Amino acid sequence: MNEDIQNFLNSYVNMIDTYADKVDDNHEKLVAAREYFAKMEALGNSCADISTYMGKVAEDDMMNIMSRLLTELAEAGLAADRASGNLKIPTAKEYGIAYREAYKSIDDKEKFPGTCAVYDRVFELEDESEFAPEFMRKLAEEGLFNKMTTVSLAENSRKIIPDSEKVSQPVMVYHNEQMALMADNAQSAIEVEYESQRLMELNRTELMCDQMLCMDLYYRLGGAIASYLVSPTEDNLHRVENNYRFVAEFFSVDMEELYQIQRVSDLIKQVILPALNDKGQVYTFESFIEEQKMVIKKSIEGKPAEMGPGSRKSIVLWGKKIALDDAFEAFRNPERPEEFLS
Amino acid sequence: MADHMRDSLGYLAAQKKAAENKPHLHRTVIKVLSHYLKIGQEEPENYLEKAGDMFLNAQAEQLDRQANFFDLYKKLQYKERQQAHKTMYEAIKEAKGYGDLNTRITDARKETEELIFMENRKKEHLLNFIEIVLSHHIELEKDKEQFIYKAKIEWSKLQELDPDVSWEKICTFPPYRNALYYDDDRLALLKEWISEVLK
Repeated sequence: MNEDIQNFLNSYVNMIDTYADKVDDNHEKLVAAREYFAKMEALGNSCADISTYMGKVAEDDMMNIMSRLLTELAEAGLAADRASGNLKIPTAKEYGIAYREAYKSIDDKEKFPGTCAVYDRVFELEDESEFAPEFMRKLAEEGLFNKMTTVSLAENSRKIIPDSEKVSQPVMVYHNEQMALMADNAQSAIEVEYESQRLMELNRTELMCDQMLCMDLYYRLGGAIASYLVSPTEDNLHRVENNYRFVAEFFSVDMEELYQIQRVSDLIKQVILPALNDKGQVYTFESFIEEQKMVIKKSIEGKPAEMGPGSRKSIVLWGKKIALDDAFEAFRNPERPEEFLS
Repeated sequence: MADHMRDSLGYLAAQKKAAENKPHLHRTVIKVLSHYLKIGQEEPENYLEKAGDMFLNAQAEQLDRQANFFDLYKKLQYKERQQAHKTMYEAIKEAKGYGDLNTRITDARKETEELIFMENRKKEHLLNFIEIVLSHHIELEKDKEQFIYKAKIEWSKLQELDPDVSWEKICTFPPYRNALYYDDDRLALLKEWISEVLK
């Protein structure tokens, strides 16, 4: 048999052997596990290499089937131990291995003070306890099972907030604030999972609205102007004109108002200017706007753009109409419908 | 052994107290933990035998998870997602042991994978479609043609996922409507521009 296949199968042999001496040789779960293992072994003998073998294993879902049979065998073994009074209670140290491994696996960059303090307390309780049940009770009483997740989640969420501000993502700033607050207060894994999912779905909807708004209000026109500045053709100038007339019609704003809208000015200051100035350019907000307006004026050639109705100086978020000037703040602190708040 | 049992019951009591912080999210878990605690308090001599491998607790956690997600997606009106969590819930409910539970969860996940991602895919095609319609409206006359073709593709992909889709549905059905920042006036404008593309 190919050596890689043999190594793969050996792991199953070890697992079967762990429980084989706890039950009778003819126990149905042991028989079932051994029979299925024999089937996997026969397949292994018929394959020349591990890739072919694993392909066939995946096709017939053999790993899942074997996993189920091994779990049932393990349950039978444990039941036999309980019945005979041989159940070995793990020590606190044995039980604590998983948490030590978990702590080691945390990236150094994510070993924030709160997270480290939680694990320090876990290991203190481990040292104070002799057996696993005592250790587990103490962990549960101090909410540490949950805190090993939530404290880290809160610290990571808070860390992302300034990063989100730097890339003009007010929706993400709010989302991470909410995630941190939720993590501060959640008491169970079920609560964390549900609340995380709820917050993520609401965030996703708000992100879509904000991204579409930024595209329609700024990026289309900004992109057309950038193309013209790189390649000043008639067609590119015409595109600037079309995009500006669209903004005027769709949002009822002219070029003077456009760059004063906080959603637009924040994008320019946080995203556009740093990107431009990183490439060796030297723009201030004012000089950048002047250049944008110069190109727009050239494109419309003294034919002012037609403004849409004043009511279009707005957006709708969660069914509520909000002035365009307040859009940034609305994404930063959205008023969500009552029915979605829990 | 008495100490270990006292510790086990103390552990369960602490878990129950944590669950009671949000009881509506832990309906089955609270029931099962209360059941184990009752046995431990009233029949300590039978506790090990009756509690066994605590499978009911593992099953309860999975059931509450799926029930909670079902409730969330019911509120959001994401019907495929609701169906997915209902399917998962029913699969988990039938489980008889840990091995069976794992298999049922794995199988149910495979069965519901497409349903889970359907809402995201619908929104993706909708937003792509609108973006293309606007690009068509704004673009130079000589270059509009490409956007007609792209818009039709996105619309037909959306129709595949939602055969009932129409602009009227998009403007009124909350899962679609909430993803759009446009007021009614601009939705009407978009409808005109869409008709130029989908004729």
